[in-house]
Amino acid sequence: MFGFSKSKWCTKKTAFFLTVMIIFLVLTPLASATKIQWLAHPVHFAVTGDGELLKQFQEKTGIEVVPVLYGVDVIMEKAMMEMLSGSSTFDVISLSNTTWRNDLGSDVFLELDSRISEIEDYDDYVPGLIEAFRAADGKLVALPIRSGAAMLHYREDLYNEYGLAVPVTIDEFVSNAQALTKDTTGDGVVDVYGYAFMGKEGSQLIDDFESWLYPHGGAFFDGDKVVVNNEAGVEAAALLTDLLNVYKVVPAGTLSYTSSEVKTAMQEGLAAMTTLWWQYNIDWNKPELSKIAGNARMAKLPQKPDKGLGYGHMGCWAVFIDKNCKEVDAAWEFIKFISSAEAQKYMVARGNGPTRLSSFQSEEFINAVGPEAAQIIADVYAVGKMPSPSPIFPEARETVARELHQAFTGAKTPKQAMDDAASAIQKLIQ
Amino acid sequence: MASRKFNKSIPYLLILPALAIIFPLLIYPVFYNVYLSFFSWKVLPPAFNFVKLQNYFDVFNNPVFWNSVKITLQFTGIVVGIQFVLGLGLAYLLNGQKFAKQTTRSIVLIPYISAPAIISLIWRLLWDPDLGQINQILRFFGIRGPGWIADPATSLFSVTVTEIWRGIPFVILVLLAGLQALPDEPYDAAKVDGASSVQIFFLITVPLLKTIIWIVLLFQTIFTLRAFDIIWVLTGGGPGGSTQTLSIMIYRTMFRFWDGGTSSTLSVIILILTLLISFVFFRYLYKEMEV
Repeated sequence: MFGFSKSKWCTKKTAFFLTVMIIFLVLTPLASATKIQWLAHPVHFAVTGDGELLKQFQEKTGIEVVPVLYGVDVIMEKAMMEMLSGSSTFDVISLSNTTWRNDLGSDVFLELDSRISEIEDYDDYVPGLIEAFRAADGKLVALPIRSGAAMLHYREDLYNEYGLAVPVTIDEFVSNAQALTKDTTGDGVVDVYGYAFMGKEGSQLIDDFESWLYPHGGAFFDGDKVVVNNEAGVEAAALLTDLLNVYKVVPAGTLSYTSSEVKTAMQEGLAAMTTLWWQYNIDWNKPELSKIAGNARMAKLPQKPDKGLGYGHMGCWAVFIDKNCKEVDAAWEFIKFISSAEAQKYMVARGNGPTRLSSFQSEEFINAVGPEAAQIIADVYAVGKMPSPSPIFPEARETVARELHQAFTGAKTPKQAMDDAASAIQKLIQ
Repeated sequence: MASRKFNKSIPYLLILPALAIIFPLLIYPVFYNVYLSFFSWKVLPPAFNFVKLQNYFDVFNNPVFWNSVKITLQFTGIVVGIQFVLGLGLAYLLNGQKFAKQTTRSIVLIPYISAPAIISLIWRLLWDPDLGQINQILRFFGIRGPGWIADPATSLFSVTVTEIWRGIPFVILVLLAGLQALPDEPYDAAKVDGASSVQIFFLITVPLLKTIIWIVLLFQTIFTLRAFDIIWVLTGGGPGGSTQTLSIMIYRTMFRFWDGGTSSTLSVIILILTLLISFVFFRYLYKEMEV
């Protein structure tokens, strides 16, 4: 009927081939490793040695981890879709403390309290980092894998050239930024700006705002009360506005700058100071990546005397297990592993921010950042706190970013902008 | 009798497979979106409250919304207008081209076939006031360039130029196809009558191309009204909301403030706006076709 003769179709070879195929198809799923999908940021993958650590984990446990990499904002969008649809595309999800809301607790993520006794060295987690991922319902829902703290990065060569001292107060910082802003070629165009920050409207702008909010003694919330418009909040907003419009010590493109433009501005020598995470300092000192290699130093953020809290923006990424995850045990094994002291040692050697107390003393960490920077980072972590988890923290940050732009563009005064931000956040709370 | 009935139903049967795809993927989401716009919906944790038309009242009382409408209409009007004028001119030039036709047309297509995110990143570098090539060229001529995407005074201009550059190949391609399909006779007659090139262009080419022109304008208007990717990557709607079109506002409302109800309401409004504009275009288009 189909044009094949019985003798041709049913040869011994064909029968053998079909048998092999059937055996292969039946046995392959049985023999293959348990597979889990990890929704993560590219930097999480990079610090695993571009997947080397995941291979080691697979060899040890037979569990294959497939990383799915996106930027910060897209991760939250994907996570939200996952939670809304109730699907289980991603078994493990990385979220930062600035995108996770603490009302997303054990109803959407697996609670970990019942399993935590399996981690023998639980006390080795930096306490502030792990507790930041306790949801509003009191349940622990994530384990920290990467931390960060904003530092003052400065060009040591320019500081030496102009005889400047590392600023301790905010006034000294402003004065240094003005001194460093120069037209070095004499063509009437500024070639080096004193400072660069992430001015594009969005979450990253708030990273830099927080780097000045806490040194002024400010906060977003005091309990249930919104206090971002108190004296410290207004001073922090006014500082960024003045650096931009009055002192003019930041590059002209600042209001479109994200972390990548600030990074470029530093490595191209366009900016002399910035307040990004300490991790960036490592790349700025690599000759193959940067024009300022060997000259990028870091210091604690300048503070307002008697007011500053001693630290700036602090953040942490943690790994959550989706409640709909089909491979819960495998996912648990993985987050236990990736947040373990052993894995963290491997990762800090590649520029990861420590989440384990033991990492700070490790040879890998000290070698990665240098002994002086390692000490500065450890000192900042010792006093630093992450912002208190809140169900509206991400929205509050977006609101402040929107209002800061109103101040930057002159549509509002910093005081008006912060007052409007506070009343909008209050509405969100209600 | 039965066979006649069957024959009559054949067209409906034939469109069934298409409907089976279009309904769940296009029509149902539109109606569901309209339904959602009557709810106060905080996305996570999911909380629905029926609020009747409250979302619409809130949106219409929000000055940010009206500013976004103004920016969207400005942006769309300028982009479509300039794309059309430049596109028609370039299509006319390409139509008369004698050599290297394929190469030129392939080059012209580059902006349209490139990924919008890549284009946006390239333009973001170009517009950078300090490190970007545009200001470097201006500096070479002794001109101090503005802040482009970082300055509220020039940000809309910058995203408009980028969008024009990205979308113009489509206009050129469609108009070029239209030009190539025009009959030779009216041109021969006009030449015999001694008409100038300008007269030929405005009195013969443009009237003959009218239907194609309406189609191009309709498509470009719809595409530009919902433009998102380039603006998002270049400015994120800033600085200070100076480039926040309705599409950007919808995205921010949903994915930054997790306000599904307001976001759905804004989506319904942009849908109605698009339908109204399309309706006007179609009226003219059908009139033109009848003529």
